[in-house]
Formats: sequence, C-alpha cells, structure tokens
Amino acid sequence: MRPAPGTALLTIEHVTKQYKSVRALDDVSFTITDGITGILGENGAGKSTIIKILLGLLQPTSGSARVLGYSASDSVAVRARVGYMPEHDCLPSQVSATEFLTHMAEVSGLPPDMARTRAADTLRHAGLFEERYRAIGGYSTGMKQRVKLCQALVHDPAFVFLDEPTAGLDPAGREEMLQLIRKTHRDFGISVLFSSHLMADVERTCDRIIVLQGGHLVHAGEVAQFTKETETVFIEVDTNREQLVAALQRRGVTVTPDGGGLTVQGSDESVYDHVRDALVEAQAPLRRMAPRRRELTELFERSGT
Amino acid sequence: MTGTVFDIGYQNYTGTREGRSRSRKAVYKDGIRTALGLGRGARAKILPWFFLFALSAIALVMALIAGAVERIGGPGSAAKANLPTHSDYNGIASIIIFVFAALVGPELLCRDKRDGVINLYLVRPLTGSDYIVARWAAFMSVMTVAALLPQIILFLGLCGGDPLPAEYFTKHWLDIPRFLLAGVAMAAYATTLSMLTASFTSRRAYAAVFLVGLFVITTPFTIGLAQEVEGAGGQWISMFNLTNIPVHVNDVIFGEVSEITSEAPARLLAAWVRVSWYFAWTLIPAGVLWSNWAKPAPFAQTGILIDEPLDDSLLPRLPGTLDSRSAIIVDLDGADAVYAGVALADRGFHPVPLFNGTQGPSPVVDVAPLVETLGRGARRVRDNRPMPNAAPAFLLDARRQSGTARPGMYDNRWVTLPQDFPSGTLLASRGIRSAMLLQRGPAHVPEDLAHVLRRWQEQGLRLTTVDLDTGNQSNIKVSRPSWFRLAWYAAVTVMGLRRSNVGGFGSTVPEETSRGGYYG
Repeated sequence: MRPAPGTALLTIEHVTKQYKSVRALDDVSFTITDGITGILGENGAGKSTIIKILLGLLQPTSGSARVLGYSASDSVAVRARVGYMPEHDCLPSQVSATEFLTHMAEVSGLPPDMARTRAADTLRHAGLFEERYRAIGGYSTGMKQRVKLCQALVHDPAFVFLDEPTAGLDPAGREEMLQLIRKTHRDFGISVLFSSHLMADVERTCDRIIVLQGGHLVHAGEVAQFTKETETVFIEVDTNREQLVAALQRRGVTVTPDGGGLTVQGSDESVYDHVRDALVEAQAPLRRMAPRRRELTELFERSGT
Repeated sequence: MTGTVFDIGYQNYTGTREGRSRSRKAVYKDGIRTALGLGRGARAKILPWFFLFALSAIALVMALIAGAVERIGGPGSAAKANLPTHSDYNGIASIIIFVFAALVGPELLCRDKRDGVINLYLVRPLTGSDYIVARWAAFMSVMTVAALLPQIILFLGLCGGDPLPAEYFTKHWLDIPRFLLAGVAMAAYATTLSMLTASFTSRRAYAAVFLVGLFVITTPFTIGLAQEVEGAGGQWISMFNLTNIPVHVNDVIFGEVSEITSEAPARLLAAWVRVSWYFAWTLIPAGVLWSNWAKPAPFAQTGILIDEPLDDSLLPRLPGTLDSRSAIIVDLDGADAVYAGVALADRGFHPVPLFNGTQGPSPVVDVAPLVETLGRGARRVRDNRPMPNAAPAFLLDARRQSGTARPGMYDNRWVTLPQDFPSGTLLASRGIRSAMLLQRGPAHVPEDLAHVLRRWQEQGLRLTTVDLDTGNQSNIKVSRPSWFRLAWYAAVTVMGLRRSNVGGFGSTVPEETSRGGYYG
C-alpha cells in the first residue's frame, strides 16, 4: 500500500550531526512528500549523512528524523519498506544478478518464491533480463549501477534512497540511469530521494530539490522555482561593452563581467526587455545571448554560507 | 494457434512481508551456500568440498582397515590391535578441521565487507546481531556436518565391516551420542575462532594465514616449552596448544586419551579444568564476536568541586528507622542518588559514589545532571567531614542499565560487581551487621546488585529494603540464582567488562555502515 499523495514521507526536524570536531549537519529541517526529490550539494555537504540518518544508520546529535511516520531510529521495521542504493561498491562479484536479487528480496522479508519472482521482474524492468544469469563481476559499470538500483527496488519499497546513482557513469549510462529513476516513480509509484552533486541531473529528474552546503540547508522547494531563481543570461558583444554595462545598471539590472562576456542576473521576460533596450542604447553589436544556469559553486557563494 | 505476450507492466508487491525472521533465515541460508560454494563458480566449490571429502576419506580408510583386520584376524582383532576409532578420529582430523575452518570460514564475513554487501544488509530489517548470529550459525552448521559426517561414515563402516554387525551396534551404540557431542564441540570451537578472526579483516587470506599460523605455531611451541617446564606449569603451557583444546574435551567425553593428546601434559589436569578451558576459548571469542561494545567500569569523571550550594529542598526526607550501623546502598535515578547521599552524610553516613560519570557524545544514559550534582555535593560532604568509622552509603545510579545503545551513541551503561563493594566479612569486622537497600517504589533487587547482596547475606549480614517515598521497610532474602543464571552472569561479566574490538570501556557504538569493522 502506497502513502496518499501529499503525505509527508520523510521529516527532518532541527537535525544536527557532529562527528568529533566536524559538524556534518547543522540544524537542518525539511519535509519530503511523494515524488522525486533531489539533494544537491558538493562533496562533504552532508547528503550521505542525511540519508544515513533517515535509514537509522546514524543517530543525529540532536533533532529528530521520521520515515513513513516512524522514528528513523526505530528503523528495523521501517527498513522493510524503504530501499537504499549506496554510492560505493556493494555487489558480490561471484554470484549472478538473479541470485543476488533473490537473496536481497528474502533479506527484506519476502518469502522465497515471491523473492524469485520479484527478482526476475525487477531485472526485466531495469533492462537486465537477458544478462541475469551472468556473474555480476563481469558486468559493465552501467550494468552494475542498475543492479544496485534493482536491489533497492526488489522488495517494492514505498520509498527509495539513491546515493549518487550516476557516479562513475559515462553520459549515455548517466542518461539511462536518470530515465530509470524517473520510471521508478512514474511507473512503479516509488518515491525517490536522490543525492547528487550534479545540478543538471537533479534538474532533469526531480520534482523538488534540497540544497545543502557545509551541513547547512541552503534551499528546499520546487525545482522549477529553484531554476527560475538561479538562471542567468549570458551576453557577448563585439564593442561598447562598458556602455552596455552602464545602460543595464541604469535599468536596475545586476550585471557582472564573465570572461569576454557579461552575465545578467535573472531570466524572466523583463530582463530580456532590459537587455534589448540597453543594447540599443549602448549601440553594442550583439554577438551571442543565451540563458545559462549558474554553476553549483556560484549558487553556494550567492547563499553566503 | 498463436500466442500473444502482454507486458503487464510493473506490479506492486502486495504479498506477505515476513520481517526479521525471514531476513535471518536468508542470511543463514546464504551463509551455508557461500561456505559450500553453491551458486558460485567451480573455484568456490573446490576448497570446501575437498575438505569434506578428505575428512570423510580419513574415516573411510579407518573403517576399511578395521574391517579388513576383523575379516582377516577374526572378531575382536581390530580392538586387540588397538586400531584408532571414534575417540581417536577428532584428534587425527583436528588439524584438517582447523585448516578447513581457517580457509572457508572467513569467506562468510570478509567477502561481505570487501564487496560492501554488508552495507546493504544493514539497511534491511536486520540488526548487526542478527547478521553475525546468522552467519555464525551457518558456518557452525557446515562445520558440524564436516565433523559428524566422517564419524557417521566410520560408525557405519565399522558396523558393516564387523562380521557381526548387530552385535557391534549393541556393544558400541553409546559411541553415537559421544561422537555427536564431541563433533559439535569441535565444530563450535573451530567456527568461533574462525569467525572471530575474520571479523577483524576484510581480506580472507589474512584471516586464513593468521589462523593457520596460530594453530601451526602454538603446537610445536607449547609442546617444546611444556617439556622444559615440569609440573603444573608445564601442564598449563600445554593447555595453550590450541589444536588440542577441543581434543581434550573429546577425551573427556569418550573417557579415553586419544593418540594426539597422549603425550600432552595437559591431559593430567582435571576434566573440569580442561572442559572449562574449552568453554573459555569458545564462549569468550563468541562474545567478542557478538558484542560491538564494552561495558564501562564504574567511575566518575568529574574531579571538580562546584562552589554553588546544593538546593536543600531537593534533599529527600530519610526514614527515621535508618540504623547508623547499617551499610546503605542507595539505588536511585541519577542526581536523586547524590541528593540521598548528601542527606545520608548529614545523618552521619559516609557516601561512596559508585557512578559512571563518563558522558561522551550522544550518551545512552545522560549523566550530566548527576555529575553536576556530585560536584556540588562533594564540597558539602567534604566540609561536613564524615567520621572515619561512619557506616558507608554506596550510591548507585538506578538507570545504569537503562536505554538502548544504537550506532553512533556513546554507550556509558554499566553494571556493578561484587568487587566494587567491601566483603560482608570486612563490614562485619567494622561492626556493621546489616545492609539496607534504599529505593523508590516496591522492593526489587536488580540483577547485578543481587550478586553483591547474596554474598553479604551468606557472610551474615541481614538485608532490608526501604522505600524512600513511604518509609516502608521490609526484610529481604536474596535466593541463590540457578547455575545457568550464574554461568550467564559470569560470562556476561567476563565478556562485557573487557576492551572490545573497536575501543575501550564505554566506547561509541560504531556506525553500521563503516566498512570493515562492525558486527553488532
């Protein structure tokens, strides 16, 4: 049985996690409902720590975490209804994918006959059905990532945690994995919390986004809103660059030099209108104009944390 | 007729979920399959099946030789020739059993850690204890088969090889429970040492080399040294021959000395000593393997005197019936015990704090208020200058065993032990003839305190309890626990109050996902 749409599936309230002298999370609070939620942050931002706290593998130093209505620390029962795909290697090399998945389904509490059926079904949905009897050690990196995802889904969890699922994949493999993650929610009805340090991955896949930096919560909300807030316009002109900057600033537009071009804050229609007018006023021949997303590091610098 | 295949899409699972019991069974089943190489490539099967074959072959050869001697020399000639039989088998096969355990046992733990599969187990409805117990049980099952199958073959062979099989069975049927028991003892010993060693490393080869080295090195070393040192010293040195430890138990079970231990000075030690030694070498490693934390020794880590005075309104009203020549044990929650101690000091008793004051990060028991109150109370008690001959009031935190230690928390729970207290004889020599347990609520004696009070009772002290709230006083008698409870308490004490494989007393419970070190 799936939780009703809009139900809070995960809740983090004022969570702080201190590792000796390092504060991995500092008073972080957010709620996650059904859908695909991305946790975005640089390495060491606290993404994996959040996931481990939600899985009950770590205890927060202070604050509380709830998963599917239960305290994350009373997690043994809850773990039967959640899946976890770790970032690092976690697959035995000697056994076949079907044997491994059957075993993991049983470890999740499914009876043996149902575990076998679920293992075959999950491998089929992940596109590994033809390869299911080969030892995992002989799989490519992309196939191994899919087996990792399959083991998180094999017991049909209500929620699945994916820790850097595209790590180590080439562009084609990354795209396949992102499609599979979208399918996980769209077709399987399983909500996803997916951590990444790649903004493009999160933007293309997730409904909502949580941004962490240095253990602090920087942003939590809809991806579309986040994109809107963080998009910029890049302009390159042949001459009269300084005049153009002055004209833009007179119109109240925030503009910063960016290599040979200029970066204008915002991407809504009024910004484009101001740019058009400023170009005319400055008599600056336009060579290139394109919307551009800020780099993750720029976002964090902007957050001032 | 043509068929059509429909993709019915993803189907949600609506069947039963069997929870932890199924998880444990799955890890157990997988452990057996891993140990025997089932579902793995041919290379994974070579070692276990070779050893099973080799062990069975030894028994088969023993049976064939005995059968041939019986047939050639007539009934009873095998016994007259003193050919090896069930009592000798474990001694003959012991080194092969140990090498088997050393090479195959680590496969169950090391590979999970090295491949990272342990990270997946511990996010499923399974605790660390479930995992390690299931793995231990799986390898124990395989080792039991390895130890008993050859004995069964030997028994069938000896029976079948005898000219009068029915008569042989009638005469020797008692060997069956003996070899079953001896085989299980051998399997438990080898399994536990193998799994314990494997739990320290993620590389099977390191564990295997260490174990084989341990067995191979201790044998000649202890034999040589035992010959040099005569008497009891030599006998005890001989007990450190790790290969012989379960064989001594085998000898006790069969009531004979087997070939391998016939020259060992340890054979001269009493049977109970050899059996106890075996249990020590099996239960303690099992405890270390199972336990990922250690109980802390009781001590207070304050070392401070706080000048701020105590709030006198929090001092409890003590019952008027307190006997100034009684030893008091205060068993109250946290700071309440300190307040009671201060109140007792005001009444002429000498408070003796027996607290674990180590707080640590994320402690299981929050002792901060207790430590602070202790700091305030210490100055007051010092200023009161208790009389040197004042009766003692031992202060205990009744929450010492409460709470649940979870990964990442600092486990500062503890138990009190008889050696934390003076003996009843010493108290009696100072004129103290009774002891009073000061608690809140109905009289109850905690498990750890029962061992203290029972000793005092046996040494002649009269025991009473007092309810601090009502002042009700009642005499108590602490009955002797069953031998099982005594043995369990001793085992827990020995295993709990030692440094664990992950830290010292009162350590942080390790995170389950830290690869290469956690078995809870």
